[in-house]
Amino acid sequence: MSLLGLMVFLAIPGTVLAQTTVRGSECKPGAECTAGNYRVKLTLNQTSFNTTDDYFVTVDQLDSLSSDWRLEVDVIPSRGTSATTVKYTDDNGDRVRRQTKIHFPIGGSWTIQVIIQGQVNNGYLRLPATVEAPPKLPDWLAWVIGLSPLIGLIGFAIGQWRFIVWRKRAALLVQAESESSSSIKIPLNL
Amino acid sequence: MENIQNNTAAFVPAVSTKDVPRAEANNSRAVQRISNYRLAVGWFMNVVWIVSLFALDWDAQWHINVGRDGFWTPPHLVFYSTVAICGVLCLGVTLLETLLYYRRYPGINDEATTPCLFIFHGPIGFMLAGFGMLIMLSSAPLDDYWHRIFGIDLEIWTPFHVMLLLGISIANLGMLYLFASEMNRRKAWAKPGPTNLLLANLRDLVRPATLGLAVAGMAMYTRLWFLFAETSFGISGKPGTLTLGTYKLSAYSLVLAGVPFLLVALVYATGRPGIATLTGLLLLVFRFFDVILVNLGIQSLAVGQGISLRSEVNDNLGIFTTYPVYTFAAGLLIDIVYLLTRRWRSAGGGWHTLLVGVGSSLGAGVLLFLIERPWETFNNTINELLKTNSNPLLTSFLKNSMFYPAYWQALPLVIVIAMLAGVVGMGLATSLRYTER
Repeated sequence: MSLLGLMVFLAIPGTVLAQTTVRGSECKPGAECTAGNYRVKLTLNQTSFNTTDDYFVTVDQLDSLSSDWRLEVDVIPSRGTSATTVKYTDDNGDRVRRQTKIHFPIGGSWTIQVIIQGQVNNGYLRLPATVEAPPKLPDWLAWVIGLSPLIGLIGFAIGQWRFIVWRKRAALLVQAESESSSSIKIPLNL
Repeated sequence: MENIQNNTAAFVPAVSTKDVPRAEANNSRAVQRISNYRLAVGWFMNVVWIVSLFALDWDAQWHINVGRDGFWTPPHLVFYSTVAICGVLCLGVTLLETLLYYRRYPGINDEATTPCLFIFHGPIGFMLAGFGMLIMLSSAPLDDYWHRIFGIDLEIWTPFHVMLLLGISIANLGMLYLFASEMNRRKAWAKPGPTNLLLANLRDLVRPATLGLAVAGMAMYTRLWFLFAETSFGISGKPGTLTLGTYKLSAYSLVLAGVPFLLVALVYATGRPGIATLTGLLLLVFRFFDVILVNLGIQSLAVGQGISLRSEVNDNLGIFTTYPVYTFAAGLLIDIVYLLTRRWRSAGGGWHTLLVGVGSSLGAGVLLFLIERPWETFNNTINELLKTNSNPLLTSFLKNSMFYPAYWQALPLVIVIAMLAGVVGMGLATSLRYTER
């Protein structure tokens, strides 16, 4: 079975896709930028990021792109950020403006990669982002919380022990009473 | 007073339930009805719980292969849904029986329920399992918070993962008590069976309560192995070892020595030889389907959706490959010892039984130590790969992955752990044997 498990997962690399690479020129929010063949303006509703809020990436096209264009935004972790790339596609918009909601799952250093998927080719823009993690609990407190269910478990074990002692005493009492009235022996043990 | 037995809506005020005379004997229809409904709910929970076992293993593999792009990944959705369902069931049973207790419903009294928090009265198994589910659900946002700080590659032994796994263990324990309680209560009205001992035992093994107990035992094993997965071979890409002096002992073998505790508890609590073997076989079946379903979950819901897999995925084996394959052999040994020592135990009382229980645990632990050596299969596979590989980097990686623990030097510690497991198992057996409410 261990061999089977190993073979399953050695087979998986055959389907592994390349780790996402960052492409395109850097673009500041609010500025006009060139993404491949397209001139666009990129805006964000906020410029400071955390792991709790959602953010809206809006792209306004400034030249005559056809109406058939789509927006994809990838949030790509930088080296040292223990995370995986998350992809978002546009969920609303029109011929001129498209918008996507993004979210950062983990604090650290990220890159927001904007991909404008036009009819002819794609255009890329990137924007570095530093995402603030929530304030960290002290390790000792985290472990106290994490191990707190043991209190309930220990309480249950003590309760069960007391219950067993009480049952055995009750059984002894019953046996003593029955022995005084008959010769039938009641087994008390396992 | 005669209305109580037939009309559940009737309410007769009394000072306490002890003032109300017991209207039913142990084999009354009301008591049996209650036991039947508890068993039905318990079995429904068992089935949902098995789905959660697959979901958690799938989640572990999702973390390894895909990463963690958020909290609501498909495995999380399945896992926490099943936990919520089981939690609601436990809460529902407790509230219902509390209500019926105060309404003096026949069969729901101090003999059939356990008090909790001064107000509630319900079956101890459901209340304990519900407590475990509550801990699991409470740990979810805390675990998400911890991941937001530290990223996706957290080890299993982080504070809130441990909280989750403790909750799972408590819930599993509750399910053991749930089925043990009903099994003990139903002995009062069990019909006489075949005179042939083997047939009678086989019939007893497939009774709903006993079978439910075996399934709950299998579930408990899978989650305890998850808890100890940090010690297992290959989970974090490096084998777990315990270093004693110059010896690197295989942590997997040491944890394996503790496996018999639950098998011993099941046999001595139920008095039904065969249940330990059955539990081991169920674990084998579960592991087989676990491999298939987890791989399917990754292929269809990750690769099939175009989600990138992590390029370093080669390093990590599935958590389920650590589940011991030969648990059924250990169970068989314990069952056989139980059968062969029946007369000696009956003659000698509690101490003889304890001795046999600890002894059979010791035998089972040593047996598992001798036959369950996953690193040998792994090393053989690496050797086969090395024969066909020409990439120097991969060769170096593969050679470094091979694992040669100090094997026989671990035996004394294995013996000690196995004997302690026997003591714990006998304690659990005593507790399960006495539970009826």
